[in-house]
Amino acid sequence: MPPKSSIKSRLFDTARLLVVAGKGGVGKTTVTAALAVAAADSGHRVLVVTIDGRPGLARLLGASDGAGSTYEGDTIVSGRGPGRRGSIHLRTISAAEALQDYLGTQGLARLAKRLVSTGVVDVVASAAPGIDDLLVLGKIKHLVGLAGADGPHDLVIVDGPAAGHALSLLRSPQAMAETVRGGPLRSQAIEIRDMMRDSQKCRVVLVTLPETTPVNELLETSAVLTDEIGVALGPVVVNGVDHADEVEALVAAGGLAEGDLAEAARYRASRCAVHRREVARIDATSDEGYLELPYLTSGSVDHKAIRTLAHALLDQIGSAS
Amino acid sequence: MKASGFATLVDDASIIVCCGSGGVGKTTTAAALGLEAARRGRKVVVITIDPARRLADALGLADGLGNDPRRIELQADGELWAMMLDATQTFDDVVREHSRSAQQAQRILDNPFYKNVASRLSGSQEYMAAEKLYALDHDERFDLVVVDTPPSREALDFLRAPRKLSNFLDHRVYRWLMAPARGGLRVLNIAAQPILRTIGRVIGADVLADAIDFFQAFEGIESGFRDRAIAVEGLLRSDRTRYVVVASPRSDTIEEARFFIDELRTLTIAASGLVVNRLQPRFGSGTSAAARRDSKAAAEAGDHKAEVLLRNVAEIRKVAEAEEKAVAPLVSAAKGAAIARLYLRADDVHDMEAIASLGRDLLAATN
Repeated sequence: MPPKSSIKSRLFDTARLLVVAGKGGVGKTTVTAALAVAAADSGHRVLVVTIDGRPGLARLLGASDGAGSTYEGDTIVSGRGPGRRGSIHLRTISAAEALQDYLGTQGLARLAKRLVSTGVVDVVASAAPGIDDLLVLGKIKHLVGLAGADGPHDLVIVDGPAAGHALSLLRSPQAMAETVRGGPLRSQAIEIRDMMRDSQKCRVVLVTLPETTPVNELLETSAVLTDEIGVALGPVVVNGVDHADEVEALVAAGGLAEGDLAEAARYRASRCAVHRREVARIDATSDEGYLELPYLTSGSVDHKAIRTLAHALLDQIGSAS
Repeated sequence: MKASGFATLVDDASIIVCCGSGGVGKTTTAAALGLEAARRGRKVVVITIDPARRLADALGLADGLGNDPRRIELQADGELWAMMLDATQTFDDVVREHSRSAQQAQRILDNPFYKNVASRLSGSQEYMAAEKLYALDHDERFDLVVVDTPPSREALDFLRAPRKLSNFLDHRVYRWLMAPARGGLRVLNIAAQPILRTIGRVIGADVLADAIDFFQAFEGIESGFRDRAIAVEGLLRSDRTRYVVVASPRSDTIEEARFFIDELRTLTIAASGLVVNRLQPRFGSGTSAAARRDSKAAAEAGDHKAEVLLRNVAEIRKVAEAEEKAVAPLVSAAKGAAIARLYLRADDVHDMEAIASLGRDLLAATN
């Protein structure tokens, strides 16, 4: 079993913002959905923010496609967990809308309209794409500021963009603070950076598969996040860990008659061995521990599968305390 | 036997662009295609845009890859070279190439706004990848360039970056900013333009001043950039460039691959190849339901060993069947392309031997 870790047992209370990150294909969106359901089932009011508007997320959360696809979003789960307090609100944030929103709060709504309609926003975004990232993070910071017992939600979970872009997203406040010598853009960048570096407020949850290359990349990414960007990590989520103990035992005992059955058993056992080795490698290097999600032999990920994964998470979070 | 579509592809193409989401094996597919092409006598350079060390490690380059191609030791008729894109370095080189004087180049390279755009931020990387592709295509050492793109939504930016840059240079806001410099006045009076004054209030006057200074320093070389951007776009759209879409059976990567095929089509480009990677291997020819039935029968007969072995096959087949169903629409969307199905190994591809074996499987695939 994963080692005990206090961060893990308080995962949903330790920070107000969890950014889920990982390279494409590791199941980042699946993990975002499972974390959100697990948090709601333990009585948290969760705001899930998606940046690139992945169509699958609403469906994984049990809603229909298109739910939560707007800037204001939709409440798609409610009445869960202790006191039926748990809920999930899903919203999709784009840079253009975040800019209009921001300028609106500065009393510049008319300017916002004009900037968008004349195409100035497009020009600024092509010249300095990091401004997009900063606008999105600025909105997320605002939403994190609202989190708390008296606010509309307790916890914000961000389904981050895929690997490389996630790093440039998280790096953008510091990059902007270094480039811009003064003015509101700089102070905004510094406030966002400081929020992201505050481990009471923000933790990055990295997702990986239990295979050599994804784990190598996970270790590199963790180092960049903590040493260079200065954000705190949450437990690593290892997705799709296969355990087939009985098959492994038969293979280890030897003497299987040659044929498809034996080949299938050897393939499965060797894959389980790779998974075990890679999980051990993560365990040895992660200070915050790890959570593992089982390999699904159902063959597809739907809302039912997400509930199974959420329960697996809650079992481990419970066992860590 | 009909020759594999991928054999024709590596024999005929001048440029192969591998696209798809991250984690589907794009980089290894690019390396495997490059390796096979080299075996068939071509002089190949593989560029990876992914800053991870994966390709370097897999190719056995202990010092890693840099912005200049390095030759891989190989027993082959052709040659295999590899490099990793350094967007900042490439951007600096392009600025130097197009500048009229060393002073002009330096003024641009020292500008804080330039440093931000060139080295830190995402969009410029796609344009620089396209730019590097163009340069390598004109490099006489190579007759085939194989490139992996960033994860697919950004891969589209890679195709559109040249257009985006030339549109930007033609945009009237850019022309406004440039106007005073054209008139010989070196300092633009921000206060004189109400919209600039307001933008300055929001983003900070010095950001705007840096940006304007950058554009003014850029004056006169933007036409070089624009011409190049148009040439790069022409190259990416010509039939010398072939696109290989890579997917794994996960629903999100399938969605991305279909999105990519559709987007290519809107650019009137057809995907030449589809690689479906990481499929569950097949054991025997029956269905999962049949294996599950046999497993239950074995349990009733008290044969625990057969029960476990058959249940294992049932579980593997169940996943394989779901994958086949998920992949089917993608395969029909890629009609006309060479299609290869590659099966999962116990561990992922992370050394030269595995890349070579992947390459052989790719070339052996006959839809």
